[in-house]
Amino acid sequence: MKKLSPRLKNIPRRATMNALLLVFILIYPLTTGLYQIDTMAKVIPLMIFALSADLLWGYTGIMSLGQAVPFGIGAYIAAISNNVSAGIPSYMRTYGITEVPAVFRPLTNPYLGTAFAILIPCLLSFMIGRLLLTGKVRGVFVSLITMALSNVLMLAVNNAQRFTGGSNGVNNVSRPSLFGHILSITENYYFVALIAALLFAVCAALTSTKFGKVLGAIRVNENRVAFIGYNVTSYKVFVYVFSSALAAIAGILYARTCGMVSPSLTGLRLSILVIIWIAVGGRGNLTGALFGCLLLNGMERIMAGIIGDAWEFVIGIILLLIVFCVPDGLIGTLLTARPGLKKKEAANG
Amino acid sequence: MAILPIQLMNGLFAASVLLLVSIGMVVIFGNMNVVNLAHGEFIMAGAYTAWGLCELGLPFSLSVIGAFALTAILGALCERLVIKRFYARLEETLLATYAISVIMTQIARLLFSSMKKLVPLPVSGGLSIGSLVFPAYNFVVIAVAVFVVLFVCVLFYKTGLGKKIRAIRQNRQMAQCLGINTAVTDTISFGLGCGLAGLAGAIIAPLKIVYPAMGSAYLMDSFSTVVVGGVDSFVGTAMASGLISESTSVLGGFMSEIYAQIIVLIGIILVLRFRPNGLFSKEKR
Repeated sequence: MKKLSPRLKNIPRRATMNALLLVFILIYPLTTGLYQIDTMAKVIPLMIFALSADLLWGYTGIMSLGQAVPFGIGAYIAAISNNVSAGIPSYMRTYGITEVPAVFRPLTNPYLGTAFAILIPCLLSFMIGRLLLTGKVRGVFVSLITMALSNVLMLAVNNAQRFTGGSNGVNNVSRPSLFGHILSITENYYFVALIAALLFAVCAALTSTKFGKVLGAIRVNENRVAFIGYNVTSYKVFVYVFSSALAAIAGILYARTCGMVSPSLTGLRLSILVIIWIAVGGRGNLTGALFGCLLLNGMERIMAGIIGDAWEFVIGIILLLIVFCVPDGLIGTLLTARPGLKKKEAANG
Repeated sequence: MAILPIQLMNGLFAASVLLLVSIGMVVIFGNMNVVNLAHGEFIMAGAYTAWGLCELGLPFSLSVIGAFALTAILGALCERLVIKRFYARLEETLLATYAISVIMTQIARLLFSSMKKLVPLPVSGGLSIGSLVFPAYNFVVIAVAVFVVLFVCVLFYKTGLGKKIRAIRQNRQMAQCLGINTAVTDTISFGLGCGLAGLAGAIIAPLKIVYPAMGSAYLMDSFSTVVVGGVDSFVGTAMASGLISESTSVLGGFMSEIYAQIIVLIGIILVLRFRPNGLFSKEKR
C-alpha cells in the first residue's frame, strides 16, 4: 500500500494544474485586448498539437520527428478548402488556372473539406504506421524516417506552387464559421478553447484506461508486452493514427485562426519544436505538454519583441538546461516531487 | 544523347559532395551511435572558418586544414561538455544536439550577421573530357572525397586509434576492462567526426553561399546517405552517396530536380524499411 499512496496523491495535484490552466484560458480574454486574444487563439491549436505528440512520444515512446506532417496537411487542406469554396484563389489565378482543379473540387464543400483535412492525414499515417511500426524498424530509424517525411512534404508543398501557393503559402483563410456566421475573434477563441478542452478530455480518458497502461508498457518494454500476448503493432498504429487525427484537427484550427498557411507548417522545425515543448513541460502526462507549449509560445511572443532573433539562442539554452537539470520536465518534476522522499532515499542509500 | 554523360559526370561530382558531408556522420552515428542533429552546423562552422582564413590571406588548402582542426576542437569540446552525459540515450541526445545546433547557428548570426559570404574558387578554368568541359574545381572535390575516404579507412583499420574506436563500438565494457581509455577515445572520435564535417564545409564553401543556416540543408542528406549505406561502413556510404546522387542527377535530367529528389527520398524510406542495416551491409547473424 505504501507504494500506491504517493501515486494517488498525484491525481489531485494534476487535476489542480489542469483546472488552473482551464481557468487561465477562460479568464484570459477578459483581461486583454483583441490582439492578445487573437495571438492566444493561435497558441491553443498548438496545445492540441502538443497533446498529439505527447500521446505518441510521452506515452508510447515513439519519437516521431514528422508530427508536423499531419498538422501541415490538415492545415493546408483546410486552407485550400476555405479558399476554393469562395471561388478561384488568387494564387491559382496567377498560374492561369481558371477553374477549380478536379482534385480540389470535393473541397468546395466546407464540411467535406474539413472531413478530408482529418481523414487524409489519418490515411497517410495508417500507411506509414503499417510500414514503419512493425517492430522491424529500430527506434532511431523511426525518428529518421519521419524526419525524412517532413522533408519530403515540405519540398513537395514548396514546389507545387500551382496548388499550394509555393513559399507564399495560402492566404485569406477566413475564421471558422458556425451555422453560416463567421466567428468573431473572441468567439473563435472560445470555440478553439472548447475543442481543445474536449480533445484533452478524450486524451485523458483514453490514457487513464487499460489501453493507456498498455501504451506505457510498450514504451517501457515492447518485447515483453508482445510476449504477454498484446498485438503491439496494432496498438502503435492506432496511437499513431489517432495522434495524427489530433494533429490534423490542430492544423485545421491553426490555419483558420491564423488566416494563412505556409510551408514552414510542414517542416522539420515545427516537428522538433513540439518535441521541445513536451520536453520542457514533461512527457507522458498531457498536462506537461499543454504547459510547455503555453510557456514556450508565450515566452516566444513576448521575447521576440524584445530580443528578436536571439530568441532562438534562448531556446537552445533552455533546452540544454532542461536536458541537464530537469530531465522529467517542469510539470513532470512537480508531479513526482514528494517532500521528504529525497531524505528517505539518502537514508536508505 | 549527350545529356546522359553530363548527368553521370554531374552525379559523380554531387556524389563526392554528398560523401564528404556524410563521412563525419558515419563516424558519429555509425560508430558512436549518437544522432547528431548539429552535424549541419559543424559543416557551417567549417565553411565560415574557411571563409575567415581565406579573408586573412591564407591559401585555400591551408584554410581547409584549419577548418578541419577548428571544428574538430569544437566538436571535442561539445562532446566533453554535453554529449558525453547522454550516450545510449537517444531522446536526450536528440534534444541536446538540437540545442547545440540552434546555439551554433545563432552564434554565427551574431558574429557574421546573416549576410551571405562568398569564398572565391581556388581553381578556376575547366578541364575537358572528350567534347565536354567541366569546371576544374569539380575534379578537386572528387579527389578530396577519394582521399578522405582512404584516410578514414586507413585510420580505422590500420592504426591503434581505429582499433580502439572499433573495439568500443563492439563492446564498451570489455574495451574498458582491457585498459582502453574510453572517455578519451570517445572525445577523439567525436572530434574526428565533427572535423570531417568541417572539412566538408570548407570544401563546399566556394561552391555554395556561406550563411548561418546553411547547415540544415545537409543534415537530412547525410543521414539518408549513411543509413542507406549501412551506418558504420565507409565503403557502403561511398556507394550509397554514388547511388543517391547519380539517381537524383539522372532523374533530374528528365524531370524537375525537386521531383527527382522526392522520388529518391521515398526510395530511401523504402530501403530503410526493408533493409534497416543498409543496402550494402552484410547480413548480421
